[in-house]
Amino acid sequence: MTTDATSFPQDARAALNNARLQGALTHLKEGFQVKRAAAFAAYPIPFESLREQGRAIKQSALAQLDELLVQFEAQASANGGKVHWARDAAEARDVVTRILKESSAKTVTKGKSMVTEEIELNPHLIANGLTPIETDLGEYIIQLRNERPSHIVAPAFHLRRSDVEESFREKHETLPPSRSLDNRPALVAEARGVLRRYFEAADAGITGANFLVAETGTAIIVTNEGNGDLTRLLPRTHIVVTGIEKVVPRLEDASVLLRLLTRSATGQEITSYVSFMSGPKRTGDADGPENFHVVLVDNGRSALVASPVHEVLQCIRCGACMNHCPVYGVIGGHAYGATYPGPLGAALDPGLDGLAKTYHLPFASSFCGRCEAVCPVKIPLTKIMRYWRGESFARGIPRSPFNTGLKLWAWAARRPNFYRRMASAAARVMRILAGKSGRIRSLPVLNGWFVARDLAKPAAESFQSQWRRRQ
Amino acid sequence: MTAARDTILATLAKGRSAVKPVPNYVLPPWTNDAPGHFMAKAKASVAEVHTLSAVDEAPESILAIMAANQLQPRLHLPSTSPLQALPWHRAPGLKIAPEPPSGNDSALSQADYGIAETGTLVFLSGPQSASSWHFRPGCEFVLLPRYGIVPRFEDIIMRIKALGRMPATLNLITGPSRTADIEQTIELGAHGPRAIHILIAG
Repeated sequence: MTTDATSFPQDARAALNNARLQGALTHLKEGFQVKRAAAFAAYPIPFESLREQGRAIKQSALAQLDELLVQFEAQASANGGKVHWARDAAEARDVVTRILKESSAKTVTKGKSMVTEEIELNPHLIANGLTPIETDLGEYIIQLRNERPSHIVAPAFHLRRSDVEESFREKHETLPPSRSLDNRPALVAEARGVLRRYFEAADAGITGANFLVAETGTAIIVTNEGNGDLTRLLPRTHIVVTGIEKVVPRLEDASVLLRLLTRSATGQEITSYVSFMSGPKRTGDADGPENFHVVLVDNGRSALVASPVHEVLQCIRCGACMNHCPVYGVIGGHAYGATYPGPLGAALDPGLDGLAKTYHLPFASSFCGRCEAVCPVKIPLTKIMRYWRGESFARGIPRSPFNTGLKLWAWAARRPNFYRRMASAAARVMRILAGKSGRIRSLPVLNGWFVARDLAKPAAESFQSQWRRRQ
Repeated sequence: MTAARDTILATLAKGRSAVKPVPNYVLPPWTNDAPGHFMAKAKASVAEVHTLSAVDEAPESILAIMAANQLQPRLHLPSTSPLQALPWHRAPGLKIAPEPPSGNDSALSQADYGIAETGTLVFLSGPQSASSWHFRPGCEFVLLPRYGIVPRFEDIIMRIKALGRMPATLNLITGPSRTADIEQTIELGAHGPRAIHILIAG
């Protein structure tokens, strides 16, 4: 999707007043946090040493990314697959469209893929006369509603059961209007039936990849529904679209990261399906796609490898940082206006999309550090957000009242006498405002701050003045 | 195409840094009673686990499970499957169908391995092993020889490396298909099987 987070403050405010969204967000705790904590607690190896391994694997892979990609390409080609390279979103869209046209495909099933969201593949396919069908239930629901994912693992996280029923009734026109859809099993069964026909009719299938393995030319996908596998196995052509940072050297490395990924994402020791896809069907194989393509998408990643924020590329897209973020927890994913929301998005989006449209996002954090504490590959997310804050200030990117305020403060802070006089004047005013109650409940300009908080009355004498007096 | 490849690799080459060696992995071995661990984990994944003293008992056992679960006595099994050789006459009334199963049918397959750590079934694609059959049926019966149960996925990797090459498709399957995409509540049978019956033989 086109990233535009310039209206982030307004969108965040709207999200805070969206009762339906606020209801959905209450599921974060029992849906994700509790399950994740239980899964790591049950594993004999402590989370800290497991994630040290995860970080070491990803850091070592990123340090030799070019060699690993070349090795992956050689192995995937030896397996009978074809590897394509795309510098940016437009090039990636064109590569996919060309593969589909060359194989005369019309209907295309899709497994869940954030990279295809990032490159806005679906609108491009539709414009080229192709019909992409999302098959992950959450992605399918939001495709019907013409929305975008609000969470990288649970895309329809923001919707209620009744919203799904409404969409199914509107879009599944051939089914009897009198049917009962007032429970989850009925909704899941209906989607299963409708999507199975698409799987069987599809000419091509597109999936993402959670990992690529250089030594075997393998793409790995992790799902619970089995939609990714039907997307790969039933059509003639399977296309994997993924980011260049997904490659690891060996199968053993992927195995360690899988243990971290599923526990961090959904609190599962393993998902129902983990599939290792190494090329098209072999001669004599009972089934499988005849053609296998892998599209390696750069789209800003290679430039980050040597940048001060290179660690953000370690991300394995588990979503734990957003599940534990107090900011994501009250505004949800859509307000971020980007493919990747939450702390990961705040660290990654400025790198992929530039600061001009994302400068608000690194500020969408209280720096409490919960995101870092749960990150399975130890990405220093607050350090990276702080870097982007500095960059946006240095480049004077419009955040005018904030930047002006910061400049004023910096000017004052370098003049200790002036600063002291101003601070003591402000304290006197605030003591008057606090009056007898001892609390300040409002101040001009700072209305937002006082919605759920108040301020204590400042002390009669400042610390510095007391210190001097008692010396 | 070549231009894209060259540009990406050139940018990455500029960003190369010293590769720090990855420390040896510290992982639990799960070697103590792997089959028992497998069964407990498979049950926790909502698979049904049945034990047979010999493979030949599979036909009767499948028919009994079908009756207990009110499933039609019709079992999809590829004509190329070695399991065609089982004594199917011992399951009178059970019809064997060779065509690919649809979403409400029952199918039978044989797993290559089981992983004790997670109660996972391992399937390698091949001439006698149709990968899509693990995702098409409503109910999947899986025959797993007890000797095929290994402690961890790392043991599967060793065996595959010994074979010399990855199969086109390697599936790890743990329990039935599921989704939590509607209100974060798990429902079984999203696209793949609603139920899995594992028959451990030997």
